[in-house]
Formats: sequence, structure tokens, C-alpha cells
Amino acid sequence: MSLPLDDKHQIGLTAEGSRALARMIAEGSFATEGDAYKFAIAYALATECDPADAPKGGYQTKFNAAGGLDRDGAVRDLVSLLRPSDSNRPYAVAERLAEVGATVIAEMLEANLGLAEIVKRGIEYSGD
Amino acid sequence: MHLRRLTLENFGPYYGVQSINLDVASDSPVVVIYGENTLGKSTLFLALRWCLYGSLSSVRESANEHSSVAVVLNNIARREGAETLSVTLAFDHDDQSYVLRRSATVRTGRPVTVAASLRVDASVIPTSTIDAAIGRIIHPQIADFFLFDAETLSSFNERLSDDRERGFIRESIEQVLGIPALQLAKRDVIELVNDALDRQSKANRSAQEAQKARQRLKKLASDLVSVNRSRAELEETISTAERELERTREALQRTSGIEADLREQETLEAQIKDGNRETAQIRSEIKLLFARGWMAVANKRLEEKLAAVRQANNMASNRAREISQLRQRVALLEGKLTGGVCPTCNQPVAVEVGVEQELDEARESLRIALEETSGGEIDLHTERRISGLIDKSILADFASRTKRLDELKLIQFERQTRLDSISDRLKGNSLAEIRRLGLQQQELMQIVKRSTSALEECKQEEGRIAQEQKKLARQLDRIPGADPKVVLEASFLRLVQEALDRTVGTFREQVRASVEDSASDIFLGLIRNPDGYGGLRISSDYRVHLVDPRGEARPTSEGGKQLVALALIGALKLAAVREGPVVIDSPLARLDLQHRENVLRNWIPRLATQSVLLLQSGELTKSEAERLLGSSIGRAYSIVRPTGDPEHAVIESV
Repeated sequence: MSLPLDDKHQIGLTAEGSRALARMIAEGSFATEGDAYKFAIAYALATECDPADAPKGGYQTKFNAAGGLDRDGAVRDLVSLLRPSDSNRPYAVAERLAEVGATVIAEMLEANLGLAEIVKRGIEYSGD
Repeated sequence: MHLRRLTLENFGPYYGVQSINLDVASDSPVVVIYGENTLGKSTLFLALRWCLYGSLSSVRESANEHSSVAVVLNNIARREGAETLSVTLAFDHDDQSYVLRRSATVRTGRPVTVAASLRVDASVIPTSTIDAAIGRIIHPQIADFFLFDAETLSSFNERLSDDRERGFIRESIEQVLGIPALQLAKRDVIELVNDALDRQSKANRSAQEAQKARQRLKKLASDLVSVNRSRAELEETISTAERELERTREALQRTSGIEADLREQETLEAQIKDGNRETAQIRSEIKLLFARGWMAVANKRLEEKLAAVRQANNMASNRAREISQLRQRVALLEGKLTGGVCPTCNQPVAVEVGVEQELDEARESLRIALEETSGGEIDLHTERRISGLIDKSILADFASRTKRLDELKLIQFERQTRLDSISDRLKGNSLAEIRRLGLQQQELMQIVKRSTSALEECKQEEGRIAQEQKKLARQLDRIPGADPKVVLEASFLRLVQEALDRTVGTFREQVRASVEDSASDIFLGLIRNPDGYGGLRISSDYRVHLVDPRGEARPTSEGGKQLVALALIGALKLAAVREGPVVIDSPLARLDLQHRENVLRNWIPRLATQSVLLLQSGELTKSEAERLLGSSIGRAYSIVRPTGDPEHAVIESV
């Protein structure tokens, strides 16, 4: 599937988001920044985080979207499927979701929650 | 010996220079220093011992412990850049005044250097002879009898049950009383006897007998030299081996009971290593799981989406089926109206009249159904995309691995906690080191045993030579022509030799009897019910027995053992040190009130002409001390912390 013309090609995080991602890496369950970044996106989608809560600007590029981070298109599919309203700009939304997701996860890690508990919360999220 | 003043500089909690006057008159010979636990009471005691003998711990462990002095440099002084700590002791002995100063310089990254100086009146004593000079006043071997920590009385009891330790105590006293010197004198006299006999033989008229006697004497002299050389070598070997054995035993004692700990430590270290390896393996597997299944956290939402898509597809499928059926119905009704073929079975349909209305209704139903279906096509592509993103095995694998990881964390934490506690106890000992010490101890014991046995043979040989000398002397006495002066000299020396033999034995027995009498007296003065005891019996090997009035051994309690130890220490002090001070840390800590009173009223005054007691309020309050000791207290001090800083203790006069 080709990338919509107005979607982002390069995606990343703000400085705060990068610190949150570094905290996730330090936890020790992610082999690469890319894995942690994608997990943050999935977590944000699982817990219905609102990408509008993410900062509007200040993002520093970390990944090439379709050509690097998401060669198999799984990020794009996940965003398109779970947020159909944003399916025209899946990577732009994924960047915001990663920012929000990483921040939330880092806060939970700082509060001494293990990744297993964080995954459980993501899976069991019901919107209540 | 009479203590005058003790001065400390940056020693332990004593910051800067602090001095304490210990000079007391004979009618008020007690110096009391009060200090609650941890204030620095025992440090004063250590400072005195270190100043006298260069040892912070027991004097018997004094060898090479300079490095341990580094820890007593006051921390405030250290932060301010000070590198030197020192202790100065001024005392009088035999109408001379002594000032002994020992200092240590502690520089980071360099070995600690210790220096000592001693001034006697106006003379400065050469550094190399300071230890010997102090040893002549109070020998380090008997330091435990006048300078001791009463908290260690129980270990003194343990020492009394050990053959070697008793030997050490006896040797310490004999050393001080000069018995080894008497033994040396005896050996010298044997040589003198040999010489006199030689001269006697030379005066012999019979050339043949003189020649024969000289040959025998020459052989005896040669044997004696050889025996003396062997004896000296053996004594040196035994002394070196025993010192080394002592150090090895003490090192082993410090590690006693920790072999099991060491084995557990080894096991725990191996288990922790395995646990770390398993943890790393699981973490690596988890990383792979997240690399493959990072989206699994959104499984629930994907499943909900999948269910919705499937439901929509099912509805679309049902609608398509319904439309297909409606189309067939329309085609059938059209066939019935105009003739045609049944769309289901392809058979000709017979024309029927009156189906127009039915046909109209079917066409209307089809139109409505087609309208409702608009945009509701089956979307199998989306269904497949969602299914492709859901991997339930990831979460199950993740759950099982994180569960194991949590279990491991707990197990590793427990192992580490246990290991830390064992490591604290072990303080750097290793099983290999303990085994090495054990082997060393066995080897040293073998050396001591072999050398002692060889020394015994030497003594027998010495006896044989002495016997032969006597025999020869008798023969020479009978031969005419000898110079009467030489004969007399030889006879005199033989008498001296026999007298020395008897003197050593008698002196030993007198010392033992004196220690026994003093110990019994002191013990009976300490106990609550002296009528129930006959006193203490001390055997020739210094085995101590408590006996009843009929002289039969009687058992005693732990408290009684403490009193036996106090009595024996007192008696040993009287036998070995005689006049002089006694310095005791926590002398009353383990005694009840009655015994405290007995110790203060009977034991301390009898023991010394000057007593320095380091007390804490738990063992004796100031008012109790004043009540019990009264005017005997010559000086009283308190150790305080004016700023609350544990590194800044001050000794104040009370």
C-alpha cells in the first residue's frame, strides 16, 4: 500500500518523549529503540490515548517511517484499523501516539510498575 | 610503675590534643573514668595498650599490625588534613621518670608508619631498645594481668581449659621471674665443671689415666657443645613455630564456625551466577518477543475490531444471500407470467394467471434489499489484515517468561541477601585461606612436636653428660696427685650445679604455691559465701580447680567462673607484676551488685598501688562509686561529646 501523499515520511519524538523512550529501553525488555517506539504506539492505541494530547511541535526525527521503522506496514495497518478516521495520515498519528504512549509508560515505570503489569493494563483496558 | 599522665592526639574520637592526669596519691589510688557506651572509653584503654606495646588488640597479636592503626586517626582531623595520631604516656619507675610516645603517620596510598620515642629522666633511649626497656618494666607477655578488658574474662576461662594456653601463662610468669635465666646458668655451670675436671686430670700423676680422663672429658665437652647447639637451635625452632602457631590459631579461631558459611557462600555465588545467566536468557527472549509482537498489547482492540468486521461481513453475506433469493423469486414470477425457465432447476415454467401483484411485491422487496445493501460489501481483505496482526501466542509466551523472571528476581534477591549476610560475617575470609591455615597449623604442630621431642632427648643427653661428669669427678678425686684447689673448685661447681637444679624446681613450685594462695585468698574475698568454698587449687601445669572446704572439686556457675578468672588474674598480677598499676575496662559489667562491691572493696585495692577504672553508668553510677570507693578515688573524669559529634569526645574532670 502506498503512503498517502500528505502523511509524514520521517517520524520521531520530542525531547521529553525521547527521555521517556530511553527510560523504556533502560527497563531492559526492548532490543532496539524501534521496538520500544512501536510498543508505545500499540500501547497508546490499546488504551485509547488521544493523539491530540501530544505536543503539536518540537519533534526530532528518529526513524524513516515506511522505509525503516515500518517496512512490513504493521504500524500503518494498526493505526488505520484502530483509528480509521486517521487512516489518511497513519504515520503522523503514529508519531503522536508514540509520544503519548512512551510518556505514559515511562511514568508507570518510574512508579515501579513492571512491564508485565503495563502490558496487562494495556490488554485489559476497557475505557472505564 | 606509677602512671602520671596520658596524652592523646587525634586518636579515635579524641580530636586534637587531650590530656588526662593519672597521678594519684597512695591513700587515694583510684582513677575513675566514666563514659557511656560508644563514647570512647575503650579507645582510651586501647590507646594506653598501643602506647606501651604498639598493639591495638591483644598484646600477643602485636606483630605487624601497623595498618590497623590507620582506622583510629580521628576523622575530623583527617578531613582537616592531619596525618598523625599519637599517644604519650608519662610514668615513674624505680625513681626515674619515663615519657613514652608512640605516633603513627597515615598518608593515603602509602603504608602507615609508626614511630616511638622514650625518654628516661634526661636521657633519650635508642629507638631499637624501647620495646626491651618497656618489657623490663612490664613484660608484654604479662600485660593481660594488669591491662585488661573485663568483658573478655570469659575468654580467659576458655584459655585456662587449653593446655597450650596454660603453658603460655606459666611461661609468662617464669619468664618474668627469671627461671629461663636460672636454666641458662645451670648450663654454664656444667661447662665450668667440665673445665675444672679437665684441669684436675692434667694434674694426674699417672700419664695413662690422665690421658684416658682427658679423652673422656674432651668427648664430654664436645658432646656438651653439640647438645647445647642443638638445644639452642631446637628452642629457637620451637619458639618460632609456637609464635607462628599462635598467629595461625588466632587466625583460625577468628574463622571458626565459618566453614559452613564459606561453603554456602560458594554455593550461593554459583546459584546467583546461574540465576543471572537465566535472567539474561529470559530477557533476551522477551526482547525477541517484543521485536516480533510489539502490537500484542493492542490485541483486545484488534479482536474487537475483527469481531466487528466479521459481523459486518456476516451481515453482508446474509444480505447477499437474501438478494439472490429475491432475484430468483422475481425471475420465477416473471417466468410464470410470460413463460420461461425456472432459474433454480432450469425446467420450463407453466404460465399462470394473476401473479402480477405477487411479482410487483417481489420486485419491491428486491429494490429495498438492494438499496439497503449499498456500501455493505463483504470486506475479507480487512478481516485478513486484522487476523494477521493478532498473535495470541506472544502474550502467553510473554506472560510465562515474565512470571519466571519475577520468580527469579525473588529467588536472586533472597540469595543475595543471604550472601550479603554471610559475606558480612566472613569479612573477606575464603575457604581456600582457611584450608591453608588448617594445613599450616598441622605442619607447625608437627614441627613443635618433633622439636619438643628432640629437645627432650637433648635434656636427657645433658643429664647423661652431667652423670658422666659426676662419675669422672669421683674417679679423679680418688686418683692421687691432683691439685687440692682444683679438686675443691670442681666439687664446689658440682654443688652449684645440683643447687641450681633444685632451685629451678623449688622456685617453680613456690611461684605456683604463691599464685595458688593469692588466688584462693582473692577468690574467697570476692564471693558472697566464702564458707562454702575451700579456695582454688592450681596444679603444676596451671590447671585451676575450685574446691570445697574438704578440698574436693566443686562445680561453679558462669558468674563463679568470672570470679575465678578475676582471682587468678589478680594472683598472676601479684606474682608477676607485683607493684604497679592496674587498668581495667568495664571491670564490673558482668557482675551483680554484691560482687561489684567485693571487687571494688577487696580486689582492686589488694591488686595495685594505682587503679584506673573505665566505667559506664550501667555497671556503676557516680554516686555508687563514691559510696563504695569513697576517699579512695583520687581523680574522676567523664567522657562527653560537647557537640554531639561522635568524632569529638572530650575528657572532663568531674
